[in-house]
Formats: sequence, structure tokens, C-alpha cells
Amino acid sequence: MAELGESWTTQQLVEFLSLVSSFPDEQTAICGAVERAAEALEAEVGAVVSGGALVASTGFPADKVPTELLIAAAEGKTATIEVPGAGRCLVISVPLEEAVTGSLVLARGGEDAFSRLEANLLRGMGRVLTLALQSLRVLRDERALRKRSEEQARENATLLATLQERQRLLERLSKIQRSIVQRADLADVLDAVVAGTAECLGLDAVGLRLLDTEDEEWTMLVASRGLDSGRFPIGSRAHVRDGVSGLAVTEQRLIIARSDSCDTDLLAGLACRGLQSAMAAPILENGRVVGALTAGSRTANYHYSTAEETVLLAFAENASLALTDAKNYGTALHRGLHDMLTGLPNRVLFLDRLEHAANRALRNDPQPAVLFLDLDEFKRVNDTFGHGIGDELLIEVGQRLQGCIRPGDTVARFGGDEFAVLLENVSREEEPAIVARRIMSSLHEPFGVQGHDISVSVSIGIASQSELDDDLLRNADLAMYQAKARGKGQYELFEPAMHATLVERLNLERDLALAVERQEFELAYQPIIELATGAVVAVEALVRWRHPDRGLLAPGAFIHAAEETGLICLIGIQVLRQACAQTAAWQARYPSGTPLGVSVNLSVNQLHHSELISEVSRALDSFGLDRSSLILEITETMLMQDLERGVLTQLKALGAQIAVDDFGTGYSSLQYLQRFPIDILKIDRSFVAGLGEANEPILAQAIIDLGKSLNLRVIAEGLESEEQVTRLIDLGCQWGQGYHYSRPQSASELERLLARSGIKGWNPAPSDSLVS
Amino acid sequence: MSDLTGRSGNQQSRWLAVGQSSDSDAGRAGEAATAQALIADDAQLLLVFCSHSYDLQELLAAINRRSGGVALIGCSTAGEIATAGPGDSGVVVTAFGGPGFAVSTACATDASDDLRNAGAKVAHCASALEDKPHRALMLLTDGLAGDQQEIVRGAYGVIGASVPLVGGCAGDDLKMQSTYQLHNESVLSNAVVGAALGSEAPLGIGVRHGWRRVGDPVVVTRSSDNRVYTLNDRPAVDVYLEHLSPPEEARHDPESFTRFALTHPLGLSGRSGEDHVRFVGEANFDDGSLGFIAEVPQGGLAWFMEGDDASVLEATDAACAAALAPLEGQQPLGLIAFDCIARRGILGDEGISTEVDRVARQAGGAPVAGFYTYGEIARTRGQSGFHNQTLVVLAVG
Repeated sequence: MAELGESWTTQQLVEFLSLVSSFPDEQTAICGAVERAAEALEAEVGAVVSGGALVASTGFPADKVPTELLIAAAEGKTATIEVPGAGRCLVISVPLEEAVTGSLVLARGGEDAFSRLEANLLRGMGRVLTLALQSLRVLRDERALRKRSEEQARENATLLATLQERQRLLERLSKIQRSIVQRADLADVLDAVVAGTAECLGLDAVGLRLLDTEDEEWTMLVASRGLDSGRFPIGSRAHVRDGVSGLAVTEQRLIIARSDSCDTDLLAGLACRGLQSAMAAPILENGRVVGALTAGSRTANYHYSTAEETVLLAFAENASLALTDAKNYGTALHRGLHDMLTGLPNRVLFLDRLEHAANRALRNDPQPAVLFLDLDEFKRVNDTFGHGIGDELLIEVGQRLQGCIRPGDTVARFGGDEFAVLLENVSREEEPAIVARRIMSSLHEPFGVQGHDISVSVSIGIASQSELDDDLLRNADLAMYQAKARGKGQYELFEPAMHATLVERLNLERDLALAVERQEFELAYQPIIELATGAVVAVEALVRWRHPDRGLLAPGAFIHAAEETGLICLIGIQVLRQACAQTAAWQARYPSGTPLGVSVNLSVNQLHHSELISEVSRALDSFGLDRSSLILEITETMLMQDLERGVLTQLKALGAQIAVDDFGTGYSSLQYLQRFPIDILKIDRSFVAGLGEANEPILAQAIIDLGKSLNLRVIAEGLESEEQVTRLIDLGCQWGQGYHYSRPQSASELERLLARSGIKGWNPAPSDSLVS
Repeated sequence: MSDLTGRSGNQQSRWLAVGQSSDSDAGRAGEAATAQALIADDAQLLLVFCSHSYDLQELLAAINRRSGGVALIGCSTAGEIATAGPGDSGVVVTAFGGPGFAVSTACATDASDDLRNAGAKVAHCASALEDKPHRALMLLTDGLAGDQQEIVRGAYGVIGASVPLVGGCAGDDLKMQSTYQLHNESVLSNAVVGAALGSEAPLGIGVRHGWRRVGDPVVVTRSSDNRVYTLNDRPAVDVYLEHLSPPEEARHDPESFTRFALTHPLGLSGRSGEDHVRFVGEANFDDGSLGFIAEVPQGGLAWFMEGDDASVLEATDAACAAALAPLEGQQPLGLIAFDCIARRGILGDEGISTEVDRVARQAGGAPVAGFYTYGEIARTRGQSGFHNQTLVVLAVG
């Protein structure tokens, strides 16, 4: 479709060019141009405004042309205009590069906005019109000049010559554009551009240089006229910054170099080509400078007229058009079958090769196998280092993957961080697994990307052909999924039972969505205790799912699915509101000096959710909960980026406290702890578990000391025995939670404990931790 | 007997009736058809479509005698259409009447001298029209006078987008010698006649062709006005014959060529991929050029096209439906069809009966009139309004 569109544009431009070049004077050229531009774009209204005045218009009854409105539209002051009979019309306006400011403007009814292609076409038409008007003006001026002269005969001859010249120029351009439409050989088209330039300008030498695709520090001569082909053969190279064409490339504008107005280096370059002066226009491919068209004269102090500049620019533009068209046509085929980023085959090509391989396998013994690869935690790379580095990493991963396979095999990228490998002839059963291990160790070697050492772990699913109708790709995908579920950085061979797992998973996701809708989530609460007194200071709210068929489910059974589907955010909100409501009720029923605290877990998804701040604020307000009694728990891995720091700062500004859960298991650095607005560290249960025994409590001690020095409170998790409590008190830890005190229980069960042990409440001010 | 009549129920009253005669005597035919059409004494406009074989002066005199000089436009045809079906060598008179209509007519002669100006001159009658909420300008032109799009451009230049255009080019039963345009008491040739029609109710216009592309596109490498000399830089006739493999006699006999070309037009691609169909009128086997009824611009991309009964009839239904859409379900007073002679070529005599039946069915009992044209005019969107090989339907609400 896009290609049809491009060729349609070129074709319309060619028609327009033929038409405009046939008009005898300015006014008819402008009127005709307006009309044809409107017809081409199916616009009801067309107009040309020049120097603030309306020069021509179509689309309104002759006696009711809204001049001011059209001028406003041309100047971009209104995006739509009301047109009797056509209703509200969308406006598009392009500049005419004339001596005075001008615009070609169209307005079209209906819903279709003007597309990029149409805008380009109209811009092209504007340029053609400018060119035609310029040559018409030259003609008019000359006519006026000659009128004063007696030499009627000579005048006629010259006029005829000018007319013929103009006709020749437009015919040349038209011919070039036709050959572009017909997809003539690119080299021929570029040669025609050079020949046309030489003929229409009548200068001594013309050359077209393009950047060397292998090394863009150099340009190559692609076509020339009038240059010494012994010294400057086609293909001869020059440095990209050399000469007039080099200047046009680097400065991306028309350059004129004459002996009286440019530096000696340029003149030396001209002199060795036997020239005294030259002008060069840049050539673009898809908007990027890729070369220059240069024309030079042997005459000393030759003056290049505006008309000559325009002619050079017009031919350069046609070269750009040809290059862009050729490039787009050539790449469209490749692009349809290859991944843009890595250049690897895409899914379409992969499936095609897989099908061929499978068909061949019907006749031969060796069977194909598919490896489905997914990079682990790749999102983290993008989040941490940015997409630029992420993309570069993907390119290098693709290259390493290619290094891991035999020449006949295929590596494809399916998008994102998904890759697939097709092994065409697997003669030994263990071969795919060997390749998988090779890939894993190859990717494990750190990649040096822009000064960062990044190593990548990958999960791989493997499927080999055993049945005729095996869907290898789907099976490998399932196996990969299983590999991920078992932990990252593994490979897994497909087994038929994986289908059942997939069905289960899909059911879970469906049920989970229903559960959110039906609010099937309940909370269990585990008290947080002041170790010295045994009083309850806060409760941690933990989510449970009352599944209609499977009963009460712990988070392990569904949180992963909730994270992946994004439902976690909705579940999180339900949890937060329930916890706030319940805590507010307890605070009312069991008043204490400082109110009972409540701790709620946040997932990384929630932290990135745009509604989080307003939801938290709304939950606090709806139930009248004292703002300082809310503790939000995050994990160390979330302490990574400024984005998260910003969110945490806002949460803190609402009055909530921030706790880092499972502290000590991640890789938080001191720096993070200082930079992020954190109030509480929760010592991971693994550090607490060893405390009752003879082990030295070095790590627990370190965390407690760290908390003290950073003015943070420390809560120990997973307390199971009186010994552990005693050791922690000795180490200076004031708070803890665990089965030793209470397992997580329903709100009603917990009430008995609250009534029995009494509530001391959670004082947000950290100063009391310094006292001990 | 009146062919059929349509009357409006609400607003200011309007009526439309169609009369028809195939009497070979011009005077009797004109008298009879007009008598059927004039079902009331407040007719505002007569639309006359007739065979060029009549003595047109006599026909017109009989009609005017009977109507007492009601404003009239009309033209010769390549076949007339009435509710009962299509016919040749006859006359169909359509009367628009009642205070709910407003009418203003005009004509321009010597159109080929300045086609654009002729279109502009006729379009001026729209500004004289009494103010009504719905308007259309009907143009009947001489299709042999030159590039018809120029006439449309001229009209558009005067009225702009404010008034939609509808109409067709007069015919001469495919003799391609001379066609006639009628205006009040004048029989004209090389002319444009027009009627600006204002109405209290919507006037809907539908356009469809029903052709499809054959093979690869060709580039119009050399053309001038209505002649195409080369396609893909080779003689246009050669390329045409190679692409379409016509019967042997069409390769050298101009007449068989024209018959074949009638059902194999050229499509010019438009903005939305929609084709503007151009009728290939004749071939010059000496210089290898092709002749068209309208301009084929040099440098353009074109396709050869073909059609069959099914595709042409589908287009009939679609054109009627599009014309009726602005009436929003209201019964029309009548449908006027401008149907390309080339479509008649494809459908054959039986097929065109089926086609007119289909139009009549869509009219839901309201009368139908029209003629087989040498080119069709319809402009509701954009600016291009000249068509070939197309059916244009005007639904009078």
C-alpha cells in the first residue's frame, strides 16, 4: 500500500509538471496549478496566496470568494474553513519559495486528514510551480526588456530559445521522473540527472558524488559530464569533507564557490579539475544527506543566476527522489522478511524456513528442531540503561547467536527480547540441548555496550520434530515458558504435558480477572511486635484469594500471574482499601497513644502505575486513617531509578512511611539507601533463621547497625523462637514479626490477640529508636 | 396514459412525471410524451431525451405547443430510458412541477471554441435561482466537442463546491458524428445546456462504474489532450492490443476496434486508488495512437479495464443506493439515470432491461427517466466531475 502511494505521488507530480510547463503566462499557470493540485488531492478548495494577497482560488462561487479566510488559511491561522456545499473542510498549506512569501493552500471536506504522502506531494507541487513561475518571469522580463529594443528579429529568436530551454528543462525532469516511476536502473537514472543538468545549465562540468556505503568518510563519483575521465573515473573517491561537493554534504545546503569568494583549498580542488568556479547541491535519501550534485565552469568569475541555482536544486531533488524510491523499493522486500533492528530474519521468514525444513524432513531422516529464546529480565536493561543501550545489546545478542549455529541454520528475532533458532538437520537427539548450552554460555560473557559490562541470561525452550503435525514453534514457546517458570537461565525440552500447564495457566489468568471483578481477595494480618514488651505496634496485611473452586489460595499461587497480566495494580488497590478500612476500625476500637500501624506490600508494577498516588491518598481519606500509620513495603530491587525515587517521595509526602522488605537479599547499596526516602528496613528471614544457633550473627548485626547509622528503624522477619528474640534485643533490634508471635490470621482471629496483648501503636518518629 | 408520476406529500408541493413515446413521427411523439408528463398545470421544467433520428425542430415545436413554453432542456441520446424500460428511436419527457421546485436554465453555443467558458456561462444560471435548501446543476453537453472535464472546471469555477453537478453527454446512437442539445425552442449542436434545480427536498447523486483492472499498469508516455500516442514509450494501439487480446478483426478494422474498446476502457488512478475510467473511442492504426473522449494526461499511470454483466449490474444497485442515501428513507419523486453507452455494450439488450428494472425497483414505484450517454457528469466531492463508462443517478426527493 505504501509503495502504491509513493508511486502515485511521483505520478501525480509528473502530471502536474507536464501541465504547469504548458501554460503561457503566470496567471494561467497559477490558476491551472491550483485547480490540478485540488483535483489530485480531491480537495474542494484550492488557492494561491502571495505577498499577503489572494492570487487565485477555486471552490467558491465566483462572486463569493472569502478572501480574508483563504489568506488566514494560507498563513496557517486556521486549521479548518467552512465551505458552502462541502461543509467544514480541513486545510493544508505549503510555502511557495518566491521572492515574496507565498503559499499554495487546499481545503478538503470529509473526515480524511491529509496524509504525509499528500503533504509531500503538495510540497512538490509548490516547488514545481515556483520553478515554472520563475522561468515565466524570466520570459516576461526579457520580453519587457526587448520591447525597448529595435531588434525585433533577434528578440524572437532569443525568446524562442528561452522557451525551448524551459521546455527542455521540464521535459528532462519529466523524463527522469518517468524513469523513476518505471523503476529504471538507478545508475541510469542518476546518469540522466547528470546529463540533464549539463544540458540545461550549459556549464563545463557536472558530477554526482554519493557517500561510500562501506565507509561514509569517503564519497564516490557516480556519474559525470565534462570531467577528465582519466583523472576522475567513475568510482573515484574523495574525502567527504573535500571540495565543493564535500561542503554541500557537510553543510547540507547549496554551496557556490568562486575565485573571489572562497578559500584557497576549495579553489585548488576546482583548479585540478580545470574549473574556476562551481556550485553544489546536497542529495538526500529518505531525508538523510548521501551526496551532492556539482556543476562547474571554466570561465573566470562566472556568475550563477538564481534560475541556475533553482535548476541545479531541481535536478538534485530528482536524484534524491530516485535514490529514495530505489532504496524504499529495495528495502521493502528485505524489510518485509527481516527484523529492522538486528537485520535477522523475522517471524514470517522463520516460519517459511521452518515449513520448508519440515517438508524436507518428510523425505529425509534428519529432523528439524526449534529453540525459542527469551532474554531474562531484559526490561531491567532498558529501564536501567535506556533503550539505546538495550537496542545495541539486542543487536549484539543476535550476532552472538549467529556465532552459535551452523551456516545452514537460522536465527530470527520475533520482536522484543524474543529470538528463535531453527536447526535444520538434527541427526543426534542431544544436539539441540548442546546448542542451547552453547548459547547460554556465549551470552553469559559480558557484553561491553557503551562502556557498560552487561551479561545476559536467557531461557530456552526446545522442541524437536517427533510427529508429522507438530507445531514446533508453539511447542518450543511452551517449553521456554516452563524454563522461565523453573527459574531463569535454564533450558527445557518440550513435553506434551506442558500443554496442560498452559491451559492451567490460562484458566488461572481468566479466574484472576473474574476475581478482581468479584472482589474475591481477602486479607490476613500478621502482627508486628515491640520485642521488649510483646505489645502489638502494627500489622502487616497479606493478600489471600478465596477461589470459588480451589478454596483459599496463598499469594504464591497467583501473584506471578497477577504481575504478568498487570492485574496486580487492581488487586493492590483492593488490598490497600481493605487494609485501611480494617485498620481504621481497629484504631477506633482499640485506641492507643500512637495509633496502630498497618503495613501493605507494593509491587513494582504498582509503583509505576500513574494512579498510585491518587489511589493511596483516596484510600487514606475514605476511611479517615491517620496518615502516619500507613507503611508501604517495597523490595530492594525497586530501588533503582529516579522514577521510583520520585514516586516514593510523593508517597512520603502523603504521610506514609516506606519500608524495604526482605532487606539483605538484593543488592541495595548504601548509596541507594541514602538517596531514597526510606524509613524502615525489614531484615530478611534468612538472616534471622540462624540466630538461635551458635552462628555469629554478623549479617543481622550489620543490618541493625546500618539502620541505626542511617536513622532507620529495623524490623526482624520470620521470628520463630524465644532465643531469636533475645538475640535480636541484644543486637539492638526493637521490632519483629513471625510465627513465634502469630501466623497471619483473619481480621476476626487477630482481634483476640489485639485484645489480649494490647496495642502500643506505631510511632512514625524515628527518634525513639535512637534512645535504645 | 401517464408513464408514472411521483408527488410529494409534505412541504411545498412538488411533483415529477415521465411521459414516453416511440411514435416515429416527431410531432405525434412529442405531443404524446408531453401530454403524459404534464399531469398538472404548474410544471416548471421539462427534461427531454430523444433519438437523433427525429426531426428535432418539429419534435421541440410539438412539445412546446403542448406545454405552452415551460422551460426546457434536453438532448439526443444513444437510447432512452423510462420506467417501463430502455428503448431506441423514441422520446422521453420528464416534467418537474409544483412550487416546491425552482428552476433556471441556460445554454452556451460553440462550446468547442472555449469549453471552459461554455461551462462557466451555463453555470451562471445557478446564481439566478430562487433560494431553496437543496440545489443541483444539471448539464447536458456535446461529448464530441472536446475535453469535457474542462466544461466541469468552468462550471466549478463559477459555483464552486456550493452546488453539486450532474448530467451527461448527448449521443447519436453511436454514429459519433453529431449530437444535439435542446434549450427551450432551440435545437443546438456543439453546445452546453443546463438547468439549475432548487428543491425543498434533498437531491441525491450516486456514481458507480463496475469495471476492474486487467494486468500491470502502463505509463502514458506521450499524449496530447484527448489523444494518447505512446504507452510505455511504445505505440499506444500496440500496447493496448497486446494487453487485452481482442478478436482478430479488431486488430485492423477501426469499427470492430471501437466495438471491442467499448467494453475495455482505460482507468486512471486517483488519490484513494479509485479509478477514473476513460472510454477508448477509436484507434488510428497508421500512427498507433488512441482517441479518448476526455483528456488523458501525459506521465500518468493507467490500467486497462474490463467488466461483465455482474459487475456492471452491481454498480447499478450501488449507484441508486448512493443517490437515495441523502433522502434518508423517504420515497423519491423519481430517479434520473445518465448511463454510459459502454455499459449498454456489455449488458446487451436483455441486460439493459434488467438494469432498468433494477433502477425501477430501487425507485420503489416512483418514475424513472434517463438516457444512454457518451460521458457522465457528477460532482459531489472534490473537483473532478467528469466520468466515462459510468452510471450517474439523480434521486429527486
